[in-house]
Order: sequence, then C-alpha cells, then structure tokens
Amino acid sequence: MHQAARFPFPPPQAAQRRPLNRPSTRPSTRRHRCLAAAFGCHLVDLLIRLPIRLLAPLLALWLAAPALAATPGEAAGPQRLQAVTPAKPGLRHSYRELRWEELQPRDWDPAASFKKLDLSKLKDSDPRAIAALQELRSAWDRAPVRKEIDGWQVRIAGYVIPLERRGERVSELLLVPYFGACIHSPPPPANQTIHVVLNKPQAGIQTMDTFWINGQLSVGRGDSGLGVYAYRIRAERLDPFAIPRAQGTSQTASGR
Amino acid sequence: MSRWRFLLPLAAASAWNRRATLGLTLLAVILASTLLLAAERLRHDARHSFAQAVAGSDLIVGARGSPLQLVLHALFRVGEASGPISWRSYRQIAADPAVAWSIPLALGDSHRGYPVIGTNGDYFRHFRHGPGIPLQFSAGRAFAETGPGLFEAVLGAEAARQLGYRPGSQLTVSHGSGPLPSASHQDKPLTVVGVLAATGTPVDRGIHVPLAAFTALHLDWQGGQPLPGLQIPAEHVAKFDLTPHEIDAFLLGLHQRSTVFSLQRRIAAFRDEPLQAALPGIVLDQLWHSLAFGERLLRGLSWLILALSLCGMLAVMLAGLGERRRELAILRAVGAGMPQIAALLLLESLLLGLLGTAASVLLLAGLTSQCAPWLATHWGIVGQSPWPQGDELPLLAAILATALLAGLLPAWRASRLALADGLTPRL
Repeated sequence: MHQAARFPFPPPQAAQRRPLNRPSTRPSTRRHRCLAAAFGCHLVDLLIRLPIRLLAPLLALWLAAPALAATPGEAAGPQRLQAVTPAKPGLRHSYRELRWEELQPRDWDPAASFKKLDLSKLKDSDPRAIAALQELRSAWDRAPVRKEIDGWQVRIAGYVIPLERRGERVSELLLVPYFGACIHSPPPPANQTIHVVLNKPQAGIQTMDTFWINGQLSVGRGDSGLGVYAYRIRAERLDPFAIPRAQGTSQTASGR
Repeated sequence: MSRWRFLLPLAAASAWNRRATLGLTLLAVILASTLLLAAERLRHDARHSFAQAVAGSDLIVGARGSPLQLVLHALFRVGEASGPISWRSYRQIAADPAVAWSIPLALGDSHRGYPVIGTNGDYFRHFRHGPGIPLQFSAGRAFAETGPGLFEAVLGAEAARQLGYRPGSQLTVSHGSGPLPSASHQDKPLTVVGVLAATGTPVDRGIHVPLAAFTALHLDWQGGQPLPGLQIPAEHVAKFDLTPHEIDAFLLGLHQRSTVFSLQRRIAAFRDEPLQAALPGIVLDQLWHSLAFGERLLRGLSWLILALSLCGMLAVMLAGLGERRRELAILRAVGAGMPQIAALLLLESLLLGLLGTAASVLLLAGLTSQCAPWLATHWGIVGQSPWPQGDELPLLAAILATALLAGLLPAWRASRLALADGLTPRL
C-alpha cells in the first residue's frame, strides 16, 4: 500500500521514477560531489577550527597575563618598604624604592612657627594664626632638598605631567605625589616635584597617569644664583603602577 | 606550478571584462579608505604641529579666562584673547627669581591676513620650537628696537614667501584682523629687515615688529580710529614715551622646571590684576582628552564605511559568479584545480584592494596639498609630508588585508560552483 510509508523519506517509487543518466547521478559527478564535500570540510577546518585551536591557548594566556605579571612586591603597593629591590626584568640597575617623605631633609621643620602658638588660646581669625599659616606656606614653597641622595638609583611612584613630546612619545615629564597637583591648592613644593627626563621617549603616557619611575636621581642647581636646588631623575624606564585590591590581585591605575 | 603564472593575467582580464560594476565598487573602496586615511592623518598632524609649537615655553601667562583659549591665541593666533594685561604686571612677574627668561607678546593687528606680533629681542633669543630648536634667520637680522630700528619687521618663512617680501621691502599694518583697507597705518610703513627660517609652526605666518612700534603706530589713534586733526609723523614718535601699556600674553622660561607649580600659583594669586598661567603641555593634553571620544567615533565610523564598501564589493563579486559559471567551467576543463579557481577570485579581490589603496593614497595627497594652506591659517595645523608616513603604513596594510579577507567568501563559493557544474552549467 502506497500509504503505509509515514516516514520523512520520499516513497520508494519516487526514486525509481528518476530518469537515468542525468548529470547529477553520473558516477563522476557523485565523485566530484564527495570531493567538494571533503574540500568544503577541509576549508571549514582551515578557516574555523584551526584558528580556534590556535587562538584558544593565546586567549587563555592573555587573560591570565595580569595575574602572572603582578609580582608580590608590586601587589602590596609602595607602603611595603624594601630597602633595595632586586633588579626588575629588563632594567640595568637595581633601584632603591623611595618614598616621597624621604625627599625632604630629616632635620627640616617648617611648622616651627606653629609650635610657638597655642591654638586653644587664640580668638577666631586671630592675625597670629593667619600669619603663622602664611609663613608655613612660604616655608613649604622654599623647602630644601636632601643633597646626600644625589646620584642614587631610585624607584619612585607618582602622578606624571608630560612636558615635552616627540610625536606620540613623551620625553620629559614632572612627577608629583598627589592627583591634580596642577589645579588643587596648595601646590607641591619644589622638593616634592621631580623633573624626569627619559632616556628613551615612551608612548602611552597621559596627564595624571601613575607610573613607577626607575632612574638615577640628581640634585640640580638652577642658574638663578640664588641657590635653588631641585630634583631630577634621568629615567631608564617607566612602569605602570598597579593599585593593590583588597584580595591581593591588582589592576592598573589608569582606566584608559 | 606552471598553472599559477597564468592566474594574474586571467584575473586582470576577467575583471576588466566586468569593469562597469567593479569600477563602481572600486570607487566606493577608494572613497572609504581615503576617509579612513584622512581621519588618521588629520589627527596625527594636529597633535604633531601643536606639540611642536608649544615646546620650549614653561608657562604662558595672560588675562584670566580659559587656559585653552590663552594657549591658542598666544601661540597659534587662533581665536581671541580674554583681555589685555598691564605692562607693570608683566615686569613684576618677569622679575621673579624663578624666571629665567620672558617674552612679551602683543597681538591684534594684521597685514593682508597675516598676524602682526609685537614682541622684543627676547623672542629671537629665547623662543624654542619642536624639541628645543631656536629660531634661525634665512635672510637678514632681528629688528633693532630703538632709534631708526623702530619701524622694522621680521617675517616668518611662510609670510615672506606668500607675500613676496625680502629684506628691504616695505609694508603697512592694518588695524585689527579684518580685510578692509580703510583702517590702516599708512603714515608709518615698516621695513622688512629679516626673514626667519621655516619652523613648521605658526611662527612661519607671523610678522614680528618691536613692541615700541606697536605703541608708536597707535599714538594718534583712539578706539580703533585715527584721531581727526592729529598726525604724529614717523620721525617724531621717539619724542613720546613708547613703553607699551598693555600686552596680550607673555611666555616664561624657568631655571628649574620643577618650580613651575609654585610660580603658577603665585601668578594666579597675583593681587594687582586677574592673571592666569597655563602649562601648555597640560592644556593640550586636556584638549586631546576632550576630543578623544570624537576621534574614536570618527575612526569607528570610517572603518564602518570601509566595511560597507567591502560588503558592496563582496556582493558584486558573488552576484557576478552566476554569470561567470561558463568561464569557470572552461577553466576547470583546461585543468584549473580548485585551489586555482579560489586563487583567481582572491587575486581579483587583492587587485581591487591594491588599486583602491593606491588611488586613495594619491587622492589624499592631492587633498592634503589643497587644504594645507587653509588648515594652517585657521587651525594652526601644519601638515607633514602628503605621502603616508610611519603610522599610516600599518593602516594601509590593514585595509589590504580586509579586502583580501572579503575575497575569501567568493573564492570558496566559486570553487564549489565550478566543481558542481562540470562542463554543462545549468543556465
């Protein structure tokens, strides 16, 4: 009975009604079709499966790179002091990690005028308090430098302000200890600002990015004749600064 | 391997046969890649020329207002100044112990569209551009600021070339920046005594005169017009006090660059006058940062347009496969294998990509040389070479690679079709 077949295949009679010797049923064409299918499979393999097999390990490496790159020293941030850090990969010297407080002379006390005042005994807007604060501020502006650290190989982290560019690469910059030093009051004094000159101009540096500066510190004297000294670093390399997260993993500071 | 060397002539001949439709897609590819290259070049040139122009000054001081407006007006002569600042304030700040040198600038007048800049000899001694390059003279000397040297001018390279002036030529300054000749200082012509060498910065378009000459030119003027009945001839101006009262801005160089912030704060807190001091590097960084979104958008749009034009090319090639079945069948019959058929189509898309990028490079060079004077005048952007440099070459390679990638689908389709049809394509 021709109605017995409920399968999705065509009924057997339909196949026998096909005329013979049509091009699509010739043995050579069937062979070509198989070859085409095989070629198609190979092409698909070449274009899709093989790249995936190659790319998957690379992708895994790329995702794992931040975790691999964060060494324990940097993950803890600058608060953890190491007197001398061993040479980081790619640097010629081993640099001593420096904090911003260490740039000021130990025996210098700008708040001397404040110590003479007893603030609880002064009235509001007392001119002595205002005068003491102004004297503190101007002393802060004239802060001296530590001449004995001239020539040290140091590593210090801060916010950068590019000064000179060669195309996209920055060749000179200023390093300041806090964010927004150019717009927030009061400005950092001369001994808390470092003029950094790069040996090799580096790209990817924008205003207020955070970097570790690795280089040689020098205490330079200006030509004004008034004995204004300032810090300079001849930087070998700048490393992005990693902000430590609570769990111990790290992320780079700039979101760009 | 002897089958392969016929492929390139075959692909070229086959493409030439269908040149009408392929020509249109080629045009689309050319326009899209020109747009992409032009956006990248404009971005690169703008950053480069701005960085070259501001290098060398540690601080730019002017009336309080927008720091960007100050930098653009003082260094690029684009836009307006917020207001003048007094000469006395300038002298006081220039006498600060942190300051190594200072250059006063007075702007506002023009000569045939080129800005006239009042300054003094410090400009030629201390001004730097690019990576610390001082100004040099290609002819003549700097102006003397007193005596007979009062009405002398030094021209930038571009101004001298376009206006055709040499040392010894005479020019008259127009009051203000407009083109009308009615307001001009005809009674006091200036003599050109020097021409600067080309710098690639807005300095090239400037006409530099002594500040005292600026004052002398306006001695018998008031409110932008000559006073009726009063004429002070050029030879008598020295009898008056020619110290300028006001300037527009001044540039400062410091002994130690790390003292810049405390000086900047002292200038901002200056009691006699509202002043501001801008660090040109930071101001430019802020400018680029605020433009970054627009740049990225433009770049994304350009890539999208390129993708669209390549889709058009893809559609034309795929649709054309139908009419090429006989051609491909004949090639199969004479011994072309599947790789050769695929290579034929790939070569065709590669040819289109090569032609497209080459033509877009030429088109861009033409556009650049046409627009360069306008860009330099109105935006201070000085173009580099019109041919692709450094960063543009990887971009060209990326466009070529994308075109080649787009040819993979027709290649695969064609090789399948050629196999299935044999010698009697069903039409």
